[in-house]
Amino acid sequence: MATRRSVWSDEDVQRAARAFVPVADEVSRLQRDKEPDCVFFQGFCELGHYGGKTKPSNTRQGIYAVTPSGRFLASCNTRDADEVLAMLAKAKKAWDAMPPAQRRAADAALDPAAVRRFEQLRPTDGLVLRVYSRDLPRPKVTPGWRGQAWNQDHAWFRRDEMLAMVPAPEVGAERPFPADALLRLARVHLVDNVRGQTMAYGPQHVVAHRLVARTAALAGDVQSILFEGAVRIERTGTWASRGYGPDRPQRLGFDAQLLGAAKFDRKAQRFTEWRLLAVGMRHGATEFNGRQDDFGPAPMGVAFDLQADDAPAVAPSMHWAYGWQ
Amino acid sequence: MAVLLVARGLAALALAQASVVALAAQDPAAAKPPTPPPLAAPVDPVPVLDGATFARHWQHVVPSADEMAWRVIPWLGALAEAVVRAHAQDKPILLWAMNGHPLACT
Repeated sequence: MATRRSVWSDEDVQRAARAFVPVADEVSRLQRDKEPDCVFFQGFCELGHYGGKTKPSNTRQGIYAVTPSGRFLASCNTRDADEVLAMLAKAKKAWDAMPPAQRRAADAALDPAAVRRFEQLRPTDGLVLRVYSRDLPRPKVTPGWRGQAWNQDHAWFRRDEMLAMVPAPEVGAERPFPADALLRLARVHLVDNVRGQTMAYGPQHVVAHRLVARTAALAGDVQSILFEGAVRIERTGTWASRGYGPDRPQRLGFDAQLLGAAKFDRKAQRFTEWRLLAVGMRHGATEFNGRQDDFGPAPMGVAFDLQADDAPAVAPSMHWAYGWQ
Repeated sequence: MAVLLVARGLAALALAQASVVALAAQDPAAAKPPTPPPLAAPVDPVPVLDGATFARHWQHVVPSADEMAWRVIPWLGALAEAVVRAHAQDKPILLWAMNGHPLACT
C-alpha cells in the first residue's frame, strides 16, 4: 500500500502513465483461475520480474506493461518511483518500435462480458460504501510507513438490506440495523487491515453487536437518520502472526463503538449521504497484517461512506465471506 | 462370506480404537484447544466516540486529498476492461497487480 504514495502520487510517474491505459487488479485470481482475463495474464506474467519464482511464495504481483494483444513489454515490483519511471520508459520505447500489426490483433483479445467476477454482483440498486481503516493517534508514534498506514475497502448491501436500515419516517422512530447485514459488516469490515490484508471473522467470533437507526429529522423527501451502537469481536485459535511464520496460539479482536449519520431520499428510495464510524481498541495480529510487533490493545478507527456511482466497480476484498452467489 | 465381512469389520474397529488410545497416550494435550496469550493491558488511551469527538475521528481516519493523489491516475478496476480500451485507443496497458485489489485492500 506504500506504493500508492511513493510511486503513483509522483507527478512524473503520473505524466508517464498517460501514454498507457492504467488498470489495477487482484493478482491471486489472475494467476490462478481459468477465466479469459486470467489466461491473458498468465500468458505474460512468467516473462516478468517474478517469472518462475516459488519461494517464499509464487505471487506474480507487481507492475506490468503489455500490449492489448498480451505481448510483454516490461515489468517490475518496487516502491521506488524512479524504477517505475525507467520501466515505463523501456515499455514505451518497445511499444513505439513495434510494428502496428504486433501491437494488437484485429479484435480485442478479451470480451469483459465473458469474464465471471464477483463485481458482477455489485448492488447498483443497493448501498455501495467505501471503507477506510487507520490507527488513531497514539502517544508513541510508530516509525516509518507503518505509523502512517491506512487502508481501504468496499462494503456492499443489497437493496432489501438497505431498505431495512431505514426507520419509519417519524422523528424519534427507531429500527435495529438488519441483523445479517450488521453481522457481515462486523465479520468482514471491522477488521484490522490498516497495514495489510487480514482474515474475516466467523459469526461465532462476534460476541456482541448492536446498531440502531433513529429518524432525527424530516425535510420534504429527505429523512435524516442517526446510527448508534457497539460491536465486540473476539477470536482465539492458532495461526501465524507474521508472514510465513510458524502457527502459534493467538487472540484477535476489536471492541468498538459505532456512530453515524445518513440522509435517505424517500422519493428516490436511496441514500444520498451515509457516514458510519467505528472507533475502539483492536488487538492481535494475523499473518499478513503487519502487526507482528504491535499486538495492542491499541486504538483504531474504521470509516464508511458512500462510493460515487461512477467509481470503478471493485468487490469487497473478502467477498467470499459474503456468501453471495 | 457374511461371517468373514463381520470379522473383518470387528478387526478394523478394534484397530481404530487401539490407535485412538495410543495417540491419546502419546499426546494427552492434543485434544485440548491451544491456550491463547492473555490480553495485555492497554498502554494507549481508550478512544471515546460521541457527538463531540465524531468529526475529529472522522477527519483522522478518512484519507486526505494528498493521500488520495494516486487516484489522479484514472485506474480501471478490471484487466479485461483495459484490454478493450487499449485496443480501441491503440495504447499499451499499464497493469498494477497486487495480492488484494489495489483499489480495495492490499
